[in-house]
Formats: sequence, C-alpha cells, structure tokens
Amino acid sequence: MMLRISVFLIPTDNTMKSFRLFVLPALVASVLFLGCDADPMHSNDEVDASLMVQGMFGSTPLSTGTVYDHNGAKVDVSAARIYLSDIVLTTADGQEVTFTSDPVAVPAKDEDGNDITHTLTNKVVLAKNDLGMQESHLGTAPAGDYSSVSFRIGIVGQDNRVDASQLPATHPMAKQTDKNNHWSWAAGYIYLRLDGQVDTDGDDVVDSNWEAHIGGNANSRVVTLDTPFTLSETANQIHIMVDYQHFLQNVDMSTESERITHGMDNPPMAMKVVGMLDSGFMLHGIHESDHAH
Amino acid sequence: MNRLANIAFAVALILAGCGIADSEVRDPALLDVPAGFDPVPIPAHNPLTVEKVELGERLFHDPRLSETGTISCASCHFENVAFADPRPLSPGVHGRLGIRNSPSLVNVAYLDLLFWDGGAFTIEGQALGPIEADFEMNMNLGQLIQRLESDASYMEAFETVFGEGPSVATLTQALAAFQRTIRSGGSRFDRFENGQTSALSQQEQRGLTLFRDKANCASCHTGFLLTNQAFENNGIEPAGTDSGRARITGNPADYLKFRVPSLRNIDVTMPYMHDGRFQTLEQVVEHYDRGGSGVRNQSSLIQPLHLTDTEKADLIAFLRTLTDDIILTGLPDA
Repeated sequence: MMLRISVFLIPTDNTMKSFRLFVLPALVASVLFLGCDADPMHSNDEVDASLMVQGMFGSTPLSTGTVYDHNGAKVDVSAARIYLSDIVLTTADGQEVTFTSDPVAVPAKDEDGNDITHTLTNKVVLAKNDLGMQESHLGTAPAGDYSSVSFRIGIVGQDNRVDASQLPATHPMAKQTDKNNHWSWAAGYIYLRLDGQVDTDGDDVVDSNWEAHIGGNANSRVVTLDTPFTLSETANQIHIMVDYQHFLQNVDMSTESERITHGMDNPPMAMKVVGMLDSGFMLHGIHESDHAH
Repeated sequence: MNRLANIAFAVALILAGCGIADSEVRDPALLDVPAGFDPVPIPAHNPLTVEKVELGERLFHDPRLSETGTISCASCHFENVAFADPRPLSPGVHGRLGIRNSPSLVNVAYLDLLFWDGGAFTIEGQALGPIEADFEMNMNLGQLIQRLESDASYMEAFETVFGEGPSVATLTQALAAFQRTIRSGGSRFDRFENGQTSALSQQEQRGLTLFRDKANCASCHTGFLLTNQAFENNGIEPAGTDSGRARITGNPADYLKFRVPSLRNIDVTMPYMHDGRFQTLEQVVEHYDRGGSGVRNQSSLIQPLHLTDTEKADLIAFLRTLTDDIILTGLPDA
C-alpha cells in the first residue's frame, strides 16, 4: 500500500500554519507507508474471504453427464460431495486466521454416551460438486500476504456426534435433502460421498452402482496447501480444486469388492480411498468473489 | 383405533404415579408412566403435545413416506404385536429385504441407542434411517418434504404444531413424539412385582426364579425395561456379512454384538434374535441352554445352563407373563 502526495505551496503565514498542521504529518505518513510498500503486505484492512471448491475428475472439470475412463473402466459420477472444516489461513508472518459460524445448539451424545446439547461454531463447508463449483463465505481476514491454506477433510470430535436431523435446513451440517452426507444408521458424517455407475460387462453402458462413502474420526485428514497468495479487497476468493478421481486412484472397479464401501462394511476399499485423501487438492488461485454468502 | 387414546387409557389403568419430564411439560398426561418406571425422558427441544403426537401417529401410518407410496413405518411395526414384525425380515419397497428383524417399539423412549447395532442415538435421528434406506422406504428426503407440502391437511397440521411447515426437523420430531408415547408396563409380571402375588401361578413364579438365578437371564434382561441396554454377542452363529455393533464402532471386540432387547411382550414378538432366526421361545431357550454356539467373541455370560425339561417349561411359562394385553389390543374409540 502506497501514499503519494503532491504539494505546491506559497509560504505565507497561513500556509505555513497549514503545512505544519496538515501537510507535514502527511509527508511523515507517506514515508512510513512507503516503507510498508517494500515488505510483507499486511494491513489492518479486513476483507471478506470466501472458499471456492471446484470438483475435478482427473484433469477435467467434474461433470455428472460425462462418462470417464478410470483405470480402464468406464464410469460416471452422480454425487461428489466433501466436507471441509477447521479452515485456517496462515499469514506470511506466521499468524493463523480461523473462522467461525453463528452458534447453533443441537442435541448430541458426548463421548461417554450422555445426552447433551452441543453448540456448533466451527466453520464447515459442504462442497456439492455434482452441482458444480461451490463458493462459501468464510468470514473476515486481514488483507495481505499468506503462506498457506489448510483445512480438515471431515467433521470430527463432538461435532461428529450431533443429531443432524435437528439442525436448521440452511446449516451445512443439516441432513441434506437431495444427496445425504450423514449416516442416519450410524450417527456421523460422510466426509466424502462419491456415487456413480460403472460398466462391468464391457458393453460400454455404465449400469452398475459404485459408491465410496468415507467417514469416521480416524479417516479424517488435514490438508495444507503451501502456496503463497494474497488477499485484497478485490481478490478474496480462495479457489481450490479437488480431484475426485485421485481419491479413486487405487480402486479397481472391475473387481466387485471395490465398487461399494460405506466405511466399516468394506474397510479394504475404504482405506484405499482414505490413503489418497490428503493429496487430491491444489490451490488454483485467488479471484474476485462471487459473494455467495 | 386411536393409538393415543389407547395408550392414555392403558396407562391410566396401571398408573401408580406420574413421571417428571426433563423438559417443558405442556401435556402432563402424556408423561404418565406405569408403576415402577422411570420418568419418561423427553428432550427439551421436542416437548410432547397432543397435537404433535397425533401428527406423528398419522405420519407413522402414512405409506407416502416411502418411494412407492406402499410402505409406512407401520408396515413393519404392527400394533397388534407390540409394534414388532412377525416376519423374520420385513419387505421394503419393491419387495426388497433387509438383514435384520424389525424390533418392537415398546418403551423406545427409554433407549439410549437405537437399532440392533446402536447406530442412532435419538429417535428423531433414527427415523430417517428406514425412510432413506434403499431396502426399506427408499425415500428421498427432499421429495418427501414436497409430498407433505402438497397436502393441505399436513401443511395445516405442521403449522399448528410447529408454527412452520414440514421439514426434516419437524417431520422427525413428530414421528419421535408419537413413538415416545408407546409405553407398556401392564403385564401380569408387573402386577406381581407391584405386590399382587396372585398375578403369577406357581409354575410362573418358579420360572421367574430361574430367570433370575440358574438361567441367568436377568444378567442382561434387567430393570423395568428388562434390558440393560448393553451390546452382547449371545453366541448366535453369523449369517451373511452382518458384523453387528462392530459395523458402527469399527472395534473388533464388538464383532457380532447386538443390542440386548427388552423381553416385554416377548410371547407375541416372534421371531427372535436380530435376524429372526428362531420362531419359538422353545428354540430360544434351547439356544441358551446349550451355551450358545461358541462363536468367536461370544459373551462369557453365555454358558451351558443344564436346565431340565420342567425348568425349561417353567421358564417359558414365566416369559409369557410379560405380555401387556392392553397395548396389544387397545380399546375402542370413545
């Protein structure tokens, strides 16, 4: 940030007085500001930061109407959804910027099985990439330079033991009414939901279901994207890309045992997906926000 | 038959005291419990009202909650058998079968965890399991809400009860409210326990003694619910891929553990076990008398009992005293 001034003065008593009162401080300020111009760009200005999550399938944008080649099998994708939480921006000088949501109280069980009321405050993003790119408002963050963005895949701890059916419909952790990301039969969130169909008999018709649903505290992963970026008043949308095919890299859908997992009902397939979770993201860039708050 | 009226009347017949709810009490009569029962736990965010219970009862019996419009909650939880299902496995939409027997809903308000594997911890949250399961009602929640919104009488009822239209939250709250009124404690065993010694015959009393001592049933089937709500591997040989509680916890120690069910109304809730494999109480008693199958991870509580034929008959005679006739038959509407 830089302050530039031009001063043309005729030195009268009055103008000298004005110079002392207004222009001199401004010149001093300009020197100070010019000093800031050369080093870490960070200020007290706050910007509205948002997170744009774009779904990819390999090198192409994810599309639910497309048949892809995956490890030699033809597949399509009907659901591609992922929960991100604990979002942290780290400034160039090492400060962490975190985000919260409006508190919402909801029935829950604690670790010991007692009924409690739990208040949700973590900023959670549910990216519904089968519907396209998803922008979520994060909150305010200082304008300036950052060294990384990190987030957790999934929802853990007490937040993962709430009764999702009782959350307001607008809350990202509420039961979704189209493609659900919560197990009613096993209270807990489906961090990653991938559904689709696969051609299993070589007739080029994708007509057998495949599903990769991952949840459970142990399967959560924290991702850190160490790519420097700058947030400003005009560029404050953090655009990340998630490659859903990458998660399936070690899954061979020509094998029946590798077509469906809901976590505990098919741990071997689940672990193949979990093993790829933290390496399927990249920071695309910082853009002007669509202000999808 | 109006279930709410039946339950209120049944409770009135056996009432010895009123429970104290842990939430706002809008309709105290809905909180009446049988003698010897704890106060019925009602979550603070979902207090019982007559209108809400009636709405929940209507939803419980409405097949439009399923994809095909053919399966309601009541299709697998029959009132005349204590809200259980006499079929080993209940057919869902398109005749699809699940892997477990539909459990009785009697006294479900008291359960800490729901489903045979404890996968749900509120009745509200549990309600969505069968609605969404592809082998049960296979209903998309968004479409279900739209169906309810298209029915003016439902819209009016939801507005009256909740001050808003149908949603996932209000739908599940109404269903849960109704289910919390399904309470039963009016068996001959209860009357015996409350001091009416003539309520049980001599044979039935011998059976009760066996139940508590030699047969060791009361190690798990205890308290006014006749269950300790634990998860146990009772020595049933595995069938299919159902791993029981381990499916939820991921803990190998929970392999083939299932929720200890209440024995209330056991005589009418056949078939037995989580997959409905036993049709008769005689088969159940034989299983425990053998000491289970010795399957991996079997509970140490399951040991050979060495019951005589007379003892087996006495034990079964006692189990048949756990039936609450009022909750099964209900009463005519006034």
